[in-house]
Amino acid sequence: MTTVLEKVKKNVKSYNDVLIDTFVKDLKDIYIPQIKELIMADYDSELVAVVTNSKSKTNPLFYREEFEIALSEFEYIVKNEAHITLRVPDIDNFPWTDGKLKIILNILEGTFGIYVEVTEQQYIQMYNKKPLSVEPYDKTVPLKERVYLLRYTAPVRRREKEVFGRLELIRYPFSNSPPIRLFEPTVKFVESNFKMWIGDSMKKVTKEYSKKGAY
Amino acid sequence: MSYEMRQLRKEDLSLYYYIKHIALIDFIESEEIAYLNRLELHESCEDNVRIYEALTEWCNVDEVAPNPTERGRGWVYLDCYTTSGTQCSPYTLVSGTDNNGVSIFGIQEQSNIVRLYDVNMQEIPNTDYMVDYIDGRIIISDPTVPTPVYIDYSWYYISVVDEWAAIEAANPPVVVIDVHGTDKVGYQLGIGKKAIRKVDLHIFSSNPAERNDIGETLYDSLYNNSCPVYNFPDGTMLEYDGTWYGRKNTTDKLSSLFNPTTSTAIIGNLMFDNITSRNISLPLVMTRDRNEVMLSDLNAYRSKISFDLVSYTRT
Repeated sequence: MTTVLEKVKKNVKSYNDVLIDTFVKDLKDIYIPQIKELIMADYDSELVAVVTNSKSKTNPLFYREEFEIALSEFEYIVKNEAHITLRVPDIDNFPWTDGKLKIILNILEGTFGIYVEVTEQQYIQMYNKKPLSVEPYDKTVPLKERVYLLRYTAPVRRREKEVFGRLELIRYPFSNSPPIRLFEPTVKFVESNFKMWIGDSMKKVTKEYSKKGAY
Repeated sequence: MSYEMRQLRKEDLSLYYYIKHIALIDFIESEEIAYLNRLELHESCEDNVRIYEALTEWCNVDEVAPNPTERGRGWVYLDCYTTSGTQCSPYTLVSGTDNNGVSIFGIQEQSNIVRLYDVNMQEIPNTDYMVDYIDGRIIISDPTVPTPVYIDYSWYYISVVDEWAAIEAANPPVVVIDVHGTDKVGYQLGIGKKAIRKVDLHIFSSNPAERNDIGETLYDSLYNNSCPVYNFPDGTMLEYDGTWYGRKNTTDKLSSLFNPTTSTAIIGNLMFDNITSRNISLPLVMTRDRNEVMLSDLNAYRSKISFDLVSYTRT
């Protein structure tokens, strides 16, 4: 025969379980989509909107889809027996493994100095030799369309004028750009709302329990 | 109406001083018997003024070698007193007056770093000239002072700047101090607040060894450490034109001391907290050697040290 105390204990335990399940569901259905939306909005305003030269081949718009997929596949919830953790993407924990995403990582880390985008053909025209063979970030781009980032030094400028007769090379849009803290507003958003989210889930579960008359 | 710097500006400047003059004190280079070149002045300049700059052709041999007068570097303007054999403190206080004639214990402009010589290698007294520490120049306004020909000086090897420069400011190594955010929270009881500034130090160097050296030096100077917040009642040590503050009014170095009073707006020092360091590897294209076109340089060997700058205020 179960005592009243045991019954209460059982209910308390199940309350915790229900709370966790409800909270995880709320995270998945409501809050994580909000987090993704915020990051993508910042991606558009902080990265895509910066590029004004339509000829630039390093426009983050070209990598938006990959970034969004990586954001969707990010492991936001880590659950174990003792607790659940909500992970918010940041520059250190985001999976920058895809070559194309490394272009975004480069931009976010900031670039010191002025660079220009140089195609292989332009490089050969300027220096009569091929650029160093390196692993490209984006292997899907055909060899002819690849661009190299070349430090825009005085000798490069002189060579550009000699060879092309004018300023031909496209300036890398993130030249001299300080680090862009893409994830920071979202981290703050989560920090300032997290307690409220838990409170909302608790209210929901308590309301449910009182309806069922668990006690 | 008198104007006083806001707290953030004082903290930013104090941190800059700490990084430049304390943390990176070992990264100072010396030049001996460098030739001086007289500059031609605009006709509107005073007739008696002569300006000389130290020749630095050796910097042009290698396009990426640091130049003493690049942004964030400049000539050393504080004496470096060696105490206890290894520790070097430029903040040895001396008795004198500030620019307003008030008696203080303050920091004196260097007196043994810059030495000027005439053609016979006779030293010219340092009361006969002013030094522009930013551009590396000697300014002489007395026509009776002999023509200087040689100079000894020291310069800051690491360029320390407090903004992501709008132009390519300097060759590596460069340290950028980036105070990029502030959070303020109240105490649980009573008035006052805790201010937390988010700071990143970006280190740019020309090879991994140098990056590691600078990164470790900076990390160690921050870990379990703090720095004072100066009040800057008369501004910073140097004028906008690179001369020591107040030097134009007096040749006596003891009557133009920098006043190192600390800010009373905060309790204690600025504390460094939550220090993390990581190397940043931007796999941009590299060159075969330095004589070829530089495809990547400053961004190749980078490191970032992030920390919180914490202070407690009474109001």
